[in-house]
Amino acid sequence: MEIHRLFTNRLFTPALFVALCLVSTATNPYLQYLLNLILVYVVVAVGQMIILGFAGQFAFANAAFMGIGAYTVALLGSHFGISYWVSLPAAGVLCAIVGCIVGLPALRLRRVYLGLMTMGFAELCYWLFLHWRDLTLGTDGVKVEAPTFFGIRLDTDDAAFFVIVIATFAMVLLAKAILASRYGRAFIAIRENELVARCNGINVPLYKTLAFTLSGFYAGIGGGLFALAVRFVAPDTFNLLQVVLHFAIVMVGGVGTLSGALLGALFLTMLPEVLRGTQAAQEMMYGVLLVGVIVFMPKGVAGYLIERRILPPEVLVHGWREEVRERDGIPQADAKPSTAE
Amino acid sequence: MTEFVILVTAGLANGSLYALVALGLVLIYKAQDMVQFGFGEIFMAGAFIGYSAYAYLGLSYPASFLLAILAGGLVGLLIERGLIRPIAHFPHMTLVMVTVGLSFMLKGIFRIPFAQDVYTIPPMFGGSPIIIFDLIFASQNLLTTATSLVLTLGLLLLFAFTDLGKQMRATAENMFGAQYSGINIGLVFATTWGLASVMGAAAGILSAPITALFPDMGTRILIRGFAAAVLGGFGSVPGAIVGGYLIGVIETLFGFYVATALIDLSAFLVIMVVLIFWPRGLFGTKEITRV
Amino acid sequence: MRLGVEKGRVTALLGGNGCGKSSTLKCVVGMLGVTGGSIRFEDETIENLKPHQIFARGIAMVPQHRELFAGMTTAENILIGGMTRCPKRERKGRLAGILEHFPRLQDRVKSRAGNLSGGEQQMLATARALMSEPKLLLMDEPTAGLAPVVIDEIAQIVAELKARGETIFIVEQNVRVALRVADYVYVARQGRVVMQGAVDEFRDDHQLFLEYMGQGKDALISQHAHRSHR
Repeated sequence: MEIHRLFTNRLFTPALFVALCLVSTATNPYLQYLLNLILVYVVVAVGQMIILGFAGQFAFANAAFMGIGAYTVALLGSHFGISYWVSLPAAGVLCAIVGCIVGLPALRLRRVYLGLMTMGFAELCYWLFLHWRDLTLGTDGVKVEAPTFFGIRLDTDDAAFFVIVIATFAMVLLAKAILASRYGRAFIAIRENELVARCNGINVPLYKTLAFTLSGFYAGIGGGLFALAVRFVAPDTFNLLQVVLHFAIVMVGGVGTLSGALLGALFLTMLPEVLRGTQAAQEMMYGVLLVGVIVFMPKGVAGYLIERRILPPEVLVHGWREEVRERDGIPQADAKPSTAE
Repeated sequence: MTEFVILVTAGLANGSLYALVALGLVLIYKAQDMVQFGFGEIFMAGAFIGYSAYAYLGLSYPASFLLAILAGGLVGLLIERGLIRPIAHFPHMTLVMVTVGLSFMLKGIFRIPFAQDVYTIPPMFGGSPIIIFDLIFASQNLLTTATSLVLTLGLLLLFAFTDLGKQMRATAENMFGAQYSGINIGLVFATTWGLASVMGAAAGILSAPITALFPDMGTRILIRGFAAAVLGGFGSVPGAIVGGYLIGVIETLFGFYVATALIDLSAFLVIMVVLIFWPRGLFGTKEITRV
Repeated sequence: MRLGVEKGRVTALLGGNGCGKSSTLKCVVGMLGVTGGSIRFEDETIENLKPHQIFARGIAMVPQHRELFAGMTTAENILIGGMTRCPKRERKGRLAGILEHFPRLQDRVKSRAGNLSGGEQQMLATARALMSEPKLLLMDEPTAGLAPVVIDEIAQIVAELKARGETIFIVEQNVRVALRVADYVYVARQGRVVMQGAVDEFRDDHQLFLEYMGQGKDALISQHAHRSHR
């Protein structure tokens, strides 16, 4: 039984959407909240996956962008009374711009240095959230105004779900389209070997900047959705722990795969709920799990499932119809290019 | 003026600890091209093991110090042999993630006995200051700086004059060349981690009389270690040392003359500013990419 | 592949790309794992030992990409080669002895290894391997990537080593050099030995050139022509 065919089926995405909506109507408030959170983290995870998993840039500023997005939505709503429907896209755009700016020095930096610099930026943002009381109200936090939809106040988890699920699906489908285009291929080329990519005519600085901008956009929207889901934005959420979480989501999910972003978000959002006990016990189990997954599934959960042919391989090239066929027991990829690109 | 001197000596004392941590980080980075994100927890482990020896076993401070650094070195050795060696061929991102998971594990382990309170060790010389040339030095600061210098010097001598040290340098330079020259690189890696962890644990137990101990103290020191290594040029051993002292002094002066809230931020600011404007740091060399 | 190396002789393994010659050497020295077959040295089975253990038994290799310590000086590079098999007090003496045979390195003894020319780096890698006074010296394509003039120098060095009684196992793509220095030759193709024999049998053997079809036959024929015009 070829399980992975289930996922490549055209009907899978709408079916999943409907399934989630049905699940949402049947759950208690706590699970609803959890589901919202998972979806939010999917969006955030996609942002991190784009810059880290696909473009191969060791950038860890995602948590900062998420924070900026969340605060933008919260502050525009509570200070200026701006509607959520405006502040959410605004958060995305603002974070895209910030992402672009952060990406500029990153053009020269490699690996360790890039990682440290972006971590520095993340910590700077955390510090600003904490200490710029005039703007962010510091530790007091900012309450998020519920959006209204044709007069109905969407202030429950159930209501928030509908916004979040639609936004999440839209963002993921958008990501899929982008990654399957020449932009995605450029990212992967840069990740694999920057020098060779450059020699092949890819404008590396341009595409790197694009990757940063895109990841900023996703994290910003994710942050805005996060604000909606938790209805209260405080600095402590966006400390180094958040940075580590995004990194872990990408690694556990599976670097370089979109399904990895989804799976990673799913597991790592649920994990704290599953791991009950003292903080010490939680930490130890979290650490053991992290190490365990990485050691035994170095390609992440998605990578593992793809190898086991449970998930379909991520064919990110438009216009190629790939059928994985077994010939003499050895899986072969039989690519037939179509005339159009 | 005296105020300035006090600040600088305090800064140098803190900086000497940052130098040790940076040294450990750079050693591992040079040998295996990876960043040990759990290194702050080695620092924390050294602090708590030393504390336990002092407070619960009743050992003297020097004995606690010795126990702490030996235990720390052992932990580092075990981690390398047991966890890192089998997966040494994994991609870098993965190895980094493993060290992150490691940091969680260590934090959790030490949180079990030490979550309740904040722990301190009294200073070694009863806190009475030493006076030289009308300048007042806190004796603990001097002790910390001196011990750290001794350790650092010991390490540098090891690299320059012993066979093992030269083998470590060779392995860091070219792992394959080292193997072809008959060097036991497994031993080199284990020793590298052991020595690096000794440095980290030493910094931990040395910090015990100065600051309060708590399980999350590792993160704070790790950042400063990074800042020091970046300032000195990541991958440079003398750079890490100099960078550590500089960060210590910068931090203290910044905190006093500008704003206390900036103390925590200064390390990150240094990282960002240095990487944006002088990515090679003070002593770093230009990296040549082989095509 | 079945290969044997005789003490005191130079044995060559020839073949085109991808026939597994470099891999064979790497297996001998422990850098590649062996999945089948066995390697014996002085009555001891050594496959699957760690590289430093094999080195301790007296097998040293000059690797294909030299793998020098670019940031260290020439002298330091050579000294590291002897670190495990030479007691401290003898090192200076041995170093001086080796440098006598490599006058070009003597001139560059304090230079950074990364700054040496291709030929000098090859000499340095060879000197480093010799520092351990190995019983068996392995050389992986020592002439690869070098200019013809330099190739001659390297060939000369190998000939000198041979004259001093070193046991050498050399893997080469350059047939001319191999035939010049070797006593016994193996020819490999796709992981198998297809020809072997004492070197005199090969010197004028056209069969050998046919084995190299598609491997720069024109160059080999012109080499052959060059020799017959001497």
